Amino acid sequence: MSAPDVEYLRPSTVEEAAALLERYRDRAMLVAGATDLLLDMRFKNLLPQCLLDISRLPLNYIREEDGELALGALATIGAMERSDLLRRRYETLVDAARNFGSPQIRNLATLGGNIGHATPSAEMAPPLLALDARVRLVSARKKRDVPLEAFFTGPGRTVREPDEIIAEFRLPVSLRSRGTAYLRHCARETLDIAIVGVACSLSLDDGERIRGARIALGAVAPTPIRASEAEEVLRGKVAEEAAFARAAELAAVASRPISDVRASASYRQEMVRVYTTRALTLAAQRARTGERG
Amino acid sequence: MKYRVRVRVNGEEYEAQAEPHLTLVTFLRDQLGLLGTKWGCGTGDCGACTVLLDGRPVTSCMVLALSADGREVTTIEGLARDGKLHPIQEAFVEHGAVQCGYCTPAAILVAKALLEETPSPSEDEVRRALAGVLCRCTGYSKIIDAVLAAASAGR
Repeated sequence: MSAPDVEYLRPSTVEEAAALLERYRDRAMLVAGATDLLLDMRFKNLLPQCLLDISRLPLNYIREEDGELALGALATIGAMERSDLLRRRYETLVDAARNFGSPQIRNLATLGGNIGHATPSAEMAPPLLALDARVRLVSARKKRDVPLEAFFTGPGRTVREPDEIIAEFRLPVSLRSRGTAYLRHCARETLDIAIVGVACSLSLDDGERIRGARIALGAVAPTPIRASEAEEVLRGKVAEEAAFARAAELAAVASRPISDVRASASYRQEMVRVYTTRALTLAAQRARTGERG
Repeated sequence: MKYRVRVRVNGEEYEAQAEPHLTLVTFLRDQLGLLGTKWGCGTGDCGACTVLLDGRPVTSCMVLALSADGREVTTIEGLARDGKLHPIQEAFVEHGAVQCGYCTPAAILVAKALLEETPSPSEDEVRRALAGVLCRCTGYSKIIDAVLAAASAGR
């Protein structure tokens, strides 16, 4: 990369960063973990007028506060993988973090970057969807929360305005009777992009009847999606194979995959069915055994 | 435009000027002359450029040099002490874990970070830690043997 002059700015507060982004808008590119940014610069020949390095903003945290789980946008995937809090109460996030990229990439890549980049296969999106996450966007003008479901608008596209920074993700705290899981299907075990990813969350009454369910799918539609009809059919049912099989069929119908180098559309749809059943089974097992403190 | 970067590499303070788009691997190799860190794919896939950033392995082709400002970097050159190899390096030599050598600095640095956090890893933990270091000689078994041996020697 030989380049005309590129400006490099590294604010230390969110207010400062928001003021700079208001000035530069889409002439600036945000630097956090930079693992997607550097690929875009190289392969899409993108060279912004300004690299706005937000990596030092105080947005690197994983904590429960005010009855919610708060995940700072700069929390790395590696930190999430190693978090005891997430392992005890939000297993689906740890399942996804463990499968993300390589260990070295996990130590760089941030949650905000993975969601903000909005690839249909974004590993962390299905778990966050299954946990009813909201995205907190901050600009010099205002602060707003967007349900993650309404955040993605297409491959690489979101409702984020050019002057907005993804500051954090907020999720309802985990209930004791809930189990969650994320499973993905890949050609190889590591360093691969999911052919299909399925996250789910099950709340059980007395370890038996399903009070509520969430099912989210990655890599099988232009954006990560919820499978609402599959969720509905589970409500009030006994958490067992028959109910899971029915929900998995509806999840497969909800998916709108493409055929590409990784898999054909029909194979993906079949894998949605298979992996939804498996993920629901694992989530129910976790809800019953209470893998949590 | 160039910007100042101050970074601690292998315990030594460096101050230099770098362009905003310069990556850490190129900075280490071309500006600091530390050629132990290898440039492989340049896309964060192969792991050959792995260094420790504040103690954790990262692919240095996916890090802007300016983002390393104020942080601590360990490269393979930082492991030997007074001309004596680090125990993990010794184990790699003893177990024949070095073939062409291109992935070796990365594998050793990943092992160092692993053993500092998990002094007695299982074989599965070693394999998971090494998942991001591709060895195109395919000498994985001996690398895993060497890391496990270094772990038992350190106990």
